[in-house]
Amino acid sequence: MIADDAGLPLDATKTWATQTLEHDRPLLCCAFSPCGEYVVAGAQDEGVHRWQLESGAKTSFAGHESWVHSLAFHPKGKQLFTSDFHGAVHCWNYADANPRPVWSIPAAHDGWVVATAVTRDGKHLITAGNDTRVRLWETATGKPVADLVGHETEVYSLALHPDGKTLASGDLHGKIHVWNLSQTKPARTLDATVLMTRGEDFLADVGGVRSLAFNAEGTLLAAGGMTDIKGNTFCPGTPAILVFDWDTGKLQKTLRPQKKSDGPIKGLAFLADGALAGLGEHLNSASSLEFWKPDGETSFHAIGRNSGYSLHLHPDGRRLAAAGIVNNGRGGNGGVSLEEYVSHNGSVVIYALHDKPAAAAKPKAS
Amino acid sequence: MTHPYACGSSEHAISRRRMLGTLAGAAGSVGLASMLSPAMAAEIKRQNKQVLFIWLDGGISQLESWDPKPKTEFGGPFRSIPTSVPGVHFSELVPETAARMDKLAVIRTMHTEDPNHSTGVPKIQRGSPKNRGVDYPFLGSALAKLLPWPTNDLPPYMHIKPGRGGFQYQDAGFLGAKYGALALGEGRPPIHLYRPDSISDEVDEARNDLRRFVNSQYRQQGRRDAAVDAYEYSFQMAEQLMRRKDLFDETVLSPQEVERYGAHPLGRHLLQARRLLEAGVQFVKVTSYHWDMHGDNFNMHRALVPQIDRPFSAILDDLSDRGMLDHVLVVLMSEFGRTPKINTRIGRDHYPNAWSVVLAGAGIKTGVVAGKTTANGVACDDSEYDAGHLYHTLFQAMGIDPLTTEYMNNAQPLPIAHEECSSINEVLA
Repeated sequence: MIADDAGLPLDATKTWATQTLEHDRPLLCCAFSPCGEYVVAGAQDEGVHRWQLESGAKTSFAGHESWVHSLAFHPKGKQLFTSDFHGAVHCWNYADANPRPVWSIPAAHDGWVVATAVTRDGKHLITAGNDTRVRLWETATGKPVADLVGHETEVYSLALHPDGKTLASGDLHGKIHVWNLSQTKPARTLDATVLMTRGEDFLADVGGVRSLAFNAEGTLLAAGGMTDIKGNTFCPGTPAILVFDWDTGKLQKTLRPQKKSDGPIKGLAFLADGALAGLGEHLNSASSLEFWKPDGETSFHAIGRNSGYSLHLHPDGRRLAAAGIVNNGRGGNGGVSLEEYVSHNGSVVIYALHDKPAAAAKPKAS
Repeated sequence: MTHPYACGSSEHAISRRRMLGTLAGAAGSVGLASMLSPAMAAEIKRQNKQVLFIWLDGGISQLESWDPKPKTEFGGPFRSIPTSVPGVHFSELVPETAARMDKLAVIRTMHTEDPNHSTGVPKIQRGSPKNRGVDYPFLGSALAKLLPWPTNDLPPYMHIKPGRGGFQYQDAGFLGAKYGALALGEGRPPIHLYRPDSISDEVDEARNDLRRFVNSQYRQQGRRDAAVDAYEYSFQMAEQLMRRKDLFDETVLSPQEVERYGAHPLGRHLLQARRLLEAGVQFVKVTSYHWDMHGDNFNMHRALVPQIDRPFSAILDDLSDRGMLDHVLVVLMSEFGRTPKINTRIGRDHYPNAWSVVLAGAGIKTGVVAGKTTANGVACDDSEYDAGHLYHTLFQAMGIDPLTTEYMNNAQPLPIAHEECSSINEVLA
């Protein structure tokens, strides 16, 4: 049940978990529906999982053949777009009792679709993949519209500017290409290369721009990831958010978490008061959800939590959804007891960005 | 002493006791002789067998390579693809190797005991006979001892690895330093292979005489230990290689050849390995580190597995085209596999319970899979094979009968492979 919180002032320092929606596999992505009634998540299975927030009722949509890595809603209609590790995209009427794919793109990308977005006018779906491509599709039909060519490596993140005409896409090498959506070549490129590390003895590039978000005014672009990565086996690094001035493209601030954390910032959301929320993945031992003022460097509030992969702001601006893992405590190196050998679980935690109603009502001690 | 593993845990440290044990074993090899039968030795010499041993240090995931389990609880996000052998599937990450399954044998039910790098690596590479009180030789050293000593003036056991090279006498265990590995850092020849022009033949001979004299003095003083042996043997090997500088001349390689293998370290090192095998080196080991994907397993396997798929396929083709697969045994393996269970870092941990080894070439049946794992990949469904089974199989493939051949260490007969194990006949030709 959702607490009756009407009228409580927005205050990220009072953030608390109002609901934990669990699944039997880790959850990789999540978003609130534009109607505000549902939260939907993709998992380390082939399902798309929808929860009705008021009741907690869960419905799973079948259609994917691999893990679902990203999703996005049509901003006005009832369409949901989900993408998977085999390159497939499905469109669903998300509010149906038992949704089935309305249309599908079996091979939107050669390999994983890593990020999915919808333009603010709702006309175009945008997907980004490990095949270096950013692609535009008609939301109504799934027909291809354009192929944005410019990245030279895996594309990990997308964000649409509030002007409705401009897209930012971030890649493994730390390049953020800025696209005018009427053109297929990048208009300019921002430098976030500090978010990728290739040590002398690494066998692979590690890191990349794992998340992107614009503020409401469109004056700032935040890019999440990690710096100073230690290797290509555990892949831990120092979490970082790069805040760029949008007009100049210059790096304005590098934000760091206050809590111990060792993976990339995988989820970003600007709040109504201008604060920035960032969700960390853990790659060694710890991760957190933290809040920054964009002109600060250290967060003003931090919540330690399990590894997270995706963060989304509710349309009411007062709740965050964070998808991630729930550690069931059994794992590690070596042999196993087969009776206990099951996957870790996942959850979407709904955080309220204000005080608890009861605490707010409680009279202050004199 | 540490190995360059990323875990950094105590599991990854080599103990001082172990190190001292190795040195003691190397020093105590006086009087050792192999008991290979004369007929077997003659036949092995006739066949002129060689080995390519590829070691992916840290543990490649069997689920992202040779034993995929798509759409299962622990299967991960990758597809499986058909191979050139009907009914056998590999991960989509190894399309080139999949197309050459008809040249391979895969053991899918390796079931070893040690989940640690520091102890698991030597156990596997030494074949791990238990409770013998000596350090057994790594496979390359064992074969240097058991096979007829090469007459081509090339070291019998060469090791191409990242980082620095040198003489790895510890590999020889109780056999003694002579049977150690000459390691080529980054596949390059030992440093100072090229004598400066300022040193004439006469000067060079004079300084070699001095070196030999000093060594003999050391020995006369009773300091005949493994370090002196190792120094002498490494110098002899360097002298031999000075006559074969052509083996390291990269200008003779065509761009097409380099492209086929790939520009990454494994590509370059496997191409160098082919050249050494062509020259007649008996045992060539190629090591690649950092396959220990505890975090971000799927992005990392996506980046790393093609780095073995491509050059492994290229060298299989080249050995096949040159008619060498008849006498070159190819082994591709790690110290263990990776956990089916995906950990909280989206990684996979160490898993000795059910993992895979790939074989090809001399003495190996082609197009076969030995063993089957359960549907979720957690356990072996039928047969389970330990390192002892694998070493019986490798010796058999080389024409050495592991049931009748023994080492003799200071009058102590020692089996060359674990007595309680036997060969995996499904993969033997």
